[in-house]
Amino acid sequence: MLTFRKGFKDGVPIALGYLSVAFAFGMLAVEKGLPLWSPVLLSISNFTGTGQFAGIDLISSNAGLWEVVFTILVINIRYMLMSLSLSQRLVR
Amino acid sequence: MSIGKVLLVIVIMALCTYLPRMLPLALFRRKIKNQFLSSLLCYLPYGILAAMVFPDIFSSTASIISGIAGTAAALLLAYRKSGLLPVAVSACVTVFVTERLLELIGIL
Repeated sequence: MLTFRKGFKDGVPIALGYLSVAFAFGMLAVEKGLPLWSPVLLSISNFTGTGQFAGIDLISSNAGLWEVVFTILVINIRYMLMSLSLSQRLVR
Repeated sequence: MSIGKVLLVIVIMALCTYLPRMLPLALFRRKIKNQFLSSLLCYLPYGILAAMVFPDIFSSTASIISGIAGTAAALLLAYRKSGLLPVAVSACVTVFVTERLLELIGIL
């Protein structure tokens, strides 16, 4: 339980940083005329700020599925390196 | 776009977001012995974040002077090992105060 509380405390600055981005994301989604449930579902299921903004554009412009795949992969490809970097901190 | 296609796009997005993060962690469990590669991976997050912040940090405020002041405040506190939140809040407050001062002396 102590590690859970420590993790929660360590995560607060990140959460606060994303709060302002979340407002901008919600406003963009409403502006583009998306149904209310879609940005909510997008936020629950996706862990990517830039990707979510691109996703709103892709949905509102009725993009093809392969276009979605490549856009989101290109945006997230840096996290392959980030995860590889993280893996080195987890093993000893 | 139909509801079904919106759902499909969200599912595809979730997969394309999650897999690049999960696969390197799940498949790669060894310690890298090569010193060049392991130091590259060690400093990589800082490099990526710095590339995302610079040079936008100077142009995203109302004046480049307040941008420089905010950057200086953040660098100083980060160098003194303050936490993420104090660094971010101090940089914001510094930018706000600097811009009010610039308005007072008529530059902004």
